[in-house]
Amino acid sequence: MKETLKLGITLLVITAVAAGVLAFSNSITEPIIAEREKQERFGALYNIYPDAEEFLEVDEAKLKEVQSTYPNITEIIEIVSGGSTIGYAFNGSAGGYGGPVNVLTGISVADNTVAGISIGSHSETPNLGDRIEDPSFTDTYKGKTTTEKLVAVASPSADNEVQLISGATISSFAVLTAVNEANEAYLVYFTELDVEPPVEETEEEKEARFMSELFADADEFTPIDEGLLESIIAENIFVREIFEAKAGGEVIGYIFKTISGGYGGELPVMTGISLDGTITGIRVGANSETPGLGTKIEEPDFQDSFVGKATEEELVAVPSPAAENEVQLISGATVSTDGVLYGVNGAREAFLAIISQ
Amino acid sequence: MKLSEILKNGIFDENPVLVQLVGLCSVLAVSTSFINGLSMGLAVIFVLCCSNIVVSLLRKVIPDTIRIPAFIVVIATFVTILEMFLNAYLESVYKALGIFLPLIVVNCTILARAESFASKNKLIPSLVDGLGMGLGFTLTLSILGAVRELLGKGTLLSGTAAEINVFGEGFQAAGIWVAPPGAFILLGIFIAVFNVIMKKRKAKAAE
Repeated sequence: MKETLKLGITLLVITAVAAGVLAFSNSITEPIIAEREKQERFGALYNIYPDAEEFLEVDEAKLKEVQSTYPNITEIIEIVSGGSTIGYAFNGSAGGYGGPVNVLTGISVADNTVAGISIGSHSETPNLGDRIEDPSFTDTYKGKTTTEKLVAVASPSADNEVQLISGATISSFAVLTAVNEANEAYLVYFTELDVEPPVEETEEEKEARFMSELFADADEFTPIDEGLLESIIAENIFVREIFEAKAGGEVIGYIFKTISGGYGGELPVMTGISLDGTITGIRVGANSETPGLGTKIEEPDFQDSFVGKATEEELVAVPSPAAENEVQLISGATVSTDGVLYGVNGAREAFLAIISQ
Repeated sequence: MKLSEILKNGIFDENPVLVQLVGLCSVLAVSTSFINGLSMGLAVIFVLCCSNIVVSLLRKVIPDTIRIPAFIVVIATFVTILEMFLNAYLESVYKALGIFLPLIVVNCTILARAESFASKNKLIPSLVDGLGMGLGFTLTLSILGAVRELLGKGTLLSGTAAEINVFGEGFQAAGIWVAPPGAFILLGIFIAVFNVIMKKRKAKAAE
């Protein structure tokens, strides 16, 4: 007992001394660091707005209001020149490859365009992801519109296109996400334009929307008989749930909810198959595929390549689909494509099993 | 053991990177250029010397059963102090070292020296041991950094005023050398060469 107490006290003394020493060093360095960071920040702002005279932090209440919709925005600065507001700068962040990427987005009030962006602290891969700091990348945001969502492409030209760095897709998209969020926050809270923040769809709402998209004529979706479902699940590793799509009480097709493996984890897919055995469409649910690459499986170009395909034969993915059993292969996202394909083929087999019964 | 021997021990015979193979995480990650390797090395020398001094001074006070947490607290304190001051006064170094600066806390070299040397020896030998090990770490890291930089970027001393573009502007450097796989390959070659040299020296000494 006494021994334990002695050990505890020794450790306490050591840590207390350490804490004291650290508090002292902190008191010396903290003001210097704060001063430097402030200068760095305003330095970046001067680069974006060379004519700026004053930088005013937007008041707390307004910031809180913006943050209620855009929690990633940490700071908003109003830029004043010649007595009038010439712009707003938003400090925000988005998840990159090595952690959050901090981005300062400057917007020019005169024409609602991006005045410039500046990359703050990040942990992207040296010589690869950290090329987001290069002016050749950040300059592609200059003068781009805020009223449309920006998209990243390999060789940007249009008003809403910015640079995508090949080999640093995730880092590029982190910047893009942060800028788009800043643009949206600006339009919603700082302009007279009639822009509403997007309403987040819940999982159930999304599912219901998917179902009615797959069977536009259906007025009711009901789970199939449990015994039947169990007998199918026993032989099919992908299928999780099956729904009957009904119009006026008549079954017109089935919707299969499958889960297969993608590049980033589980990949939920919804497949609609009408009674005559053609696929009415597919919808990919919430997934963790690579942004901008694997997530192309969510785009209509890909999903629509399944529409009208027959269910007798196993589907295969090819670069330019033509035959009855061929669907789009997304180049650069083979694993994600295959993941979807596993799910759809699983649904196809489950459908054949239902029909045969 | 003579002081000069302790020093030599750290740099050659028991070089932390090339012989003991400890602290490799930061070695591989930070040695992308000469200046990064050198600054990491200097940071390690600072922490190693300071922690060796304090551990050596406290070696009779710290009970055996809680020595590891006590050492870690000492090391972590110095690392945090270093981090604060680098952030305040040498920001470029602070940024280049990034996460690997706070990770010096878990660099095995430092805990290993506290445990196996400083806690058993007097102040001066402990300080010299820290210096020797630190120098061994720094030399290896700087040379590795310089070679990786030369092969991977075609430059020498990049990040300093004396930056030289060795192969001219149009040179297409092989990026693998500044990426982690290149670090592994080069480190392997370094260890091989180092072993050959050390073997020859030993054979000579035996004669």
